[in-house]
Amino acid sequence: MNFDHTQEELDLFQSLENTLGNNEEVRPGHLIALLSSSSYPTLGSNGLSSALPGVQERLAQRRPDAYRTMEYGLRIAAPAITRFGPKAWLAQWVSPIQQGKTLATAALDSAQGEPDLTGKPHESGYLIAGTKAGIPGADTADIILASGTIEGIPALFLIERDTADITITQGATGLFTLTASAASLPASHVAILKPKAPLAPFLQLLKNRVQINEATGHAAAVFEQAKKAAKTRPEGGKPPIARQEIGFKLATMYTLLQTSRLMAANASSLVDAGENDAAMASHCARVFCSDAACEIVASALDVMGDQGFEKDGPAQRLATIQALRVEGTSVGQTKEAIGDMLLKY
Amino acid sequence: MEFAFTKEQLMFKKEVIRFARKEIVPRVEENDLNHTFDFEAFRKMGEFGILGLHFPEEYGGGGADVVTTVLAGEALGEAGVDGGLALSYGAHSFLCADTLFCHGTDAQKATYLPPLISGEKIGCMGLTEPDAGSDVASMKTTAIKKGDTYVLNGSKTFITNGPIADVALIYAKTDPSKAHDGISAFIVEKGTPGFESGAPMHKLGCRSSQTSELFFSNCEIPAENLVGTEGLGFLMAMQTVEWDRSALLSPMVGAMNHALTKSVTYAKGREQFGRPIGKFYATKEKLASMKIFAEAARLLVYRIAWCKGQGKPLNHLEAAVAKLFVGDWLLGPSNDAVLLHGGYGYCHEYGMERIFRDGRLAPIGGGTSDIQKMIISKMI
Repeated sequence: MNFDHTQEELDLFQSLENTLGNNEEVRPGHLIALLSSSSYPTLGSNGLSSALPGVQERLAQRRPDAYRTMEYGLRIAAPAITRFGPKAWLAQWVSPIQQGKTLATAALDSAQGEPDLTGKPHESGYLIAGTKAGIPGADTADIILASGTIEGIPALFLIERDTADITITQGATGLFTLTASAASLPASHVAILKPKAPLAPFLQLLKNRVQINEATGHAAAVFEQAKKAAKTRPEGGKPPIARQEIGFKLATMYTLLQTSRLMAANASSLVDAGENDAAMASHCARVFCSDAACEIVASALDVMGDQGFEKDGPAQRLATIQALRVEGTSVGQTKEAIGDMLLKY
Repeated sequence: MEFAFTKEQLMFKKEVIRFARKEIVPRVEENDLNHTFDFEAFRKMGEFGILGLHFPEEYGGGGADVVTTVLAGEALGEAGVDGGLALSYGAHSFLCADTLFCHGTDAQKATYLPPLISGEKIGCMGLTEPDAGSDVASMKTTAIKKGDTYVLNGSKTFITNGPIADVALIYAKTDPSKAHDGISAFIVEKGTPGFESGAPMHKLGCRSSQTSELFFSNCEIPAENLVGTEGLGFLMAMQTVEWDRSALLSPMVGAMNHALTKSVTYAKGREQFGRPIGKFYATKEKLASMKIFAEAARLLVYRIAWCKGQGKPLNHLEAAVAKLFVGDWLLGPSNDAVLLHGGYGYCHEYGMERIFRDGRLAPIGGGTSDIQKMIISKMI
C-alpha cells in the first residue's frame, strides 16, 4: 500500500501545470506536440501509470475542450493499437499519435437504434457499414480507430480523414456520430482479432478512465472557482466561507472531490495491473465520480451565485458534466453492470 | 500509488473473519436485542490477539502495523460482528490502551497494558461531558492537586464501556482557568472511592456496547496516575484521532460488505413476479450503492491508516474528510440494505436493521459530521 505519488510523478504534474499555465494553446494536436517532450503522451506505458489520473484531471481542469480528443487518441486509440493491432500499425501510427503529428480519436459506442459497425471483405479490402456514436474530435482527427465486427468476429478499423462514404455529424452533447455507408477500407486499415479477444471490455475500461478523470477534472475546476469566490468576495464584513451555509457546502464538495480522486486512482491502478477486480473498481469510480461532479458543480453555483454564470464559470461546465453521466455506458447502466457483477449474472 | 494489501494481510483478514464467525457472530443478534455486552467474546478477542494487535510484544501485543490493525476491524465487521462490540473494542484498545501506551510511564504501561491487551481488564476513555461535547475546552470536571494526590470532581457522559470498565482514562481540568491547555489525563480504577458509573444508556444502535455516565465526587487518586504531562491532555486526546478515523471506522466498512454479501444472497434467492429480485434494476442499484460506498470508504480509511503507519504528521483535513464521508454517506447504502430485504429488512433476524441502526453513530461519535465540516471549511 502506498498513497503517495513519487517525486517523478509530482514533477510531471508541476511540469504539466507550468506548460499549460504558460501557454494558451487549446488545439488538441498542438497541445500533444507541446507536451511531447515530457512523459505525458506515453503515460500508462512507461512505468508512470499512477500519475495518469492526476494528469488527466489536470488536463480536463485546464483544457476542457481539448481533453477528450487528446485522451481518446493517446489513452484509447494508441493502447488499443498497441495491444490488438498488427505490428505495422504500431510502427506507423502509435509514435505519430504520441508526438501529436497524427491526431487520433476512437469510436467505441454503437448508436442507439442503429446497427453497429460491421465489415465484409470486398476486392482486396473491406466494405464497412454502420454507425458509431459518442466520438470526440471526429471532425478534426486524422484517424478514427473504430471497433466493430467482421462476420461476428471483433475487429478494429482505421478510418482516415475524408474517407469516402463516411459521414461525421455532431450530436447535441458536442460529440460526433460516424456513419459508414459501404465505405471502402484497404486491408491495411482493418485488423481482425481473435474471436474471443477481450476488445470490448478493454476499451470500456480505458474509456471509463478517461471519463472518470474528466469528471474529476471538471469537479476540481469548479470547486477551486467556488472556493476562491467564497474566500475573496466580502459579504457583510467577512468572506462567505465563514458562514456555515457556504463553508459546509464547500466541505462537502471537497470531501466528494478527494474521494473521487482516490476512487479514480484506485481504479486506474487496477486497470493497469490487469487485476480481476479492475472492472468493478472502474465501474464504481465511473458512477461515484460522475455523480460527485454533478453535485459539486450544482453546489458551486449555489456558492457563487450570479458569478457562477460568468464566462468560464461553473455554469459553462454544467452541461458537459451532466452529459458525462449519460454518454456511452451511462451511470444508470453502469450501476446495473455493478449489480450484475455482484450477482454474477 | 498502490492500494493493495499484502498477501499476509489478506490471509490475516481471513483468519480474523473465521475467528469472529465462530466465536462472536453466533451471539451477536441476541446481544444486540438484549443490550448485553459479550464478555466471553471480548476475552476471546484478547486471546486471539485482536485487542492488542498493534502493541509491542513485550506487553503481550502482536506488533502489527497500523494497516493490518485497521484491517482486523474491517474483518470483524465483514464477519458480521455488531457495531456495539466493535465500538467497545475501539474505545478499549485505541482510546484507552493506546493513550496509555503512547504517554504513560513505564510503570503505568507495565501495570495496565498486559491485562488490557489480554482482555482480562476492560478500558474506557472519558472526555465528553454533558456541556462539553465537541467543545472540549468547556469541560467542567476538575482534577485538583492535593499533596501527592489529585481530587476529581465532575461527570462524564456517553462513555463507551463506562459501566464495565476496570480502567478509565479520564480527562479533567487541572487548571480550570485555562481552556485546552488546562486539560490533563488520569487513570482511574474501578472501585476507587468517589468514582461511580451510571446505568447503561438505551441507545438506537451499538446496543451491545455499554454506555453510561461517569461520576466523580471528591475522587482521590494517586498523583502517579497522571498520564503524560499536566496540561497536555487535549493534545493526547487529539492523537487518538487517527485511530478514530481509521480503526474505529473500518468495522463500518466491513459491516457494509457484510450487508452487501447478505443482500446479494437474498436478492438471488428471493423471488417476486416469477423471478429473483436480483433481476430487477431497483435491486441492482441498491447493491451498487452499497458496493460504491464500501469501496470509497475503504480507500479513505486506509489512507489515514497508511499515513499513520508511515509516521506522517496527522493530517486533520483528510482525517475529517474520512470521518465526514463515512458518517454522512453511510446512511444511503445502509438504508438500501434494509429496503432491499423488504419486510425482512425491518425485522431483527436478518440483521439489516441493526447495521442501519449501528451506522447512525458514525455521524455523531468521535466528532459530529458538522464538526468535520467546520474543520474542513477552515482548512481548505
